[in-house]
Amino acid sequence: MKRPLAVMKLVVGFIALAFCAAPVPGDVGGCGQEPQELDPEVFFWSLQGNECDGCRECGLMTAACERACGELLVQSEFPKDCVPLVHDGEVCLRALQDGSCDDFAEYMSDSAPSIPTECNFCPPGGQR
Amino acid sequence: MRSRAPVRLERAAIRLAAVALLAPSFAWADPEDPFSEPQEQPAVSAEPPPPPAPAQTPRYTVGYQHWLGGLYLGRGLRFNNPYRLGRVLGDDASSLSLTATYLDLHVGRTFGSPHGFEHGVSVHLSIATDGIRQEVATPSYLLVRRLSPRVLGYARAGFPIVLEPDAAVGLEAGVGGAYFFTANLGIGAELDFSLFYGAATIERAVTAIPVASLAIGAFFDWENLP
Repeated sequence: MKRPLAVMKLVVGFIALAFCAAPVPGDVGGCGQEPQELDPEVFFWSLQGNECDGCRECGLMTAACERACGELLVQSEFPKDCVPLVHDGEVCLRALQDGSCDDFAEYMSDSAPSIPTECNFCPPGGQR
Repeated sequence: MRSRAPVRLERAAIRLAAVALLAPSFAWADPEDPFSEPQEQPAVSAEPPPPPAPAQTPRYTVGYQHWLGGLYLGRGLRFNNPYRLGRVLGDDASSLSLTATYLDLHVGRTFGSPHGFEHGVSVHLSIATDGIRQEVATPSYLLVRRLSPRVLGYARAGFPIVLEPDAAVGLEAGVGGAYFFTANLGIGAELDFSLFYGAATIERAVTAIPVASLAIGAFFDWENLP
């Protein structure tokens, strides 16, 4: 009885490694891309636009959605000592566009909002 | 008066010579004559003779074609993550992380002799099945060895080219194998080590992102014997 169990563990481990562990690296950027500083106004307008699109597509009616779809720019500057690059902004916006409605419900929640890890380039207390 | 006819003894000698000439077991009988009897009786052995080797189809070099391919599903581990891409495994967002699941379609062909190691080329096309849209094409040098009638092993080295969302290149090496249920169809697996070059950060002009990945799926093999 021990041998089939060991074989089963090996098979399960192999499959788990295959499906939980590619040649698709993710949004790592182009190898010729220069480290250019991200313009805060351009980024925050794009971010707000993306958030508003997500709220409309998913039928979300939170206060955060109202602010995102408003005429005013909610945030126009990065925190002090935070200097994100253009690719930081690109990665963040693409991650938002790729989010599902469940993801957007979390991002635009009024009680406990979250952000994708890709957008967390200015963590509280951190420096970039 | 003395007769000219041969004497009885002489006649007997002539008859004996005639019989000897016509006898099949005569000393100078043709050895390749199918009707000639063996000159020596084979020694009777106690053990039966070994069975003859099974007949094999000869594998010729000229005109030989060997095509391989497969459709795999895989996932990778990213060892550097400067842009905090999703599925982070550690506490630090830029540490170890999982890549998106990908579908890998590949086709290859070897050239030359079917004996021993076969050298060839292959092309992989990997498509992300979740996360952002991404495709990677990888032309590779291919080394194949049939280990047994049912098992095939291979290794490859190539240059992955990221097609979307930003063009990037890298280096890749992998080893794989396949077990065949039929002459053409089996299950295969491949372990790859890739190094992708990504966008610059403030600290580094070119970022290197090492990725180890494992993929399994259906494997196809086709040999044309002349």
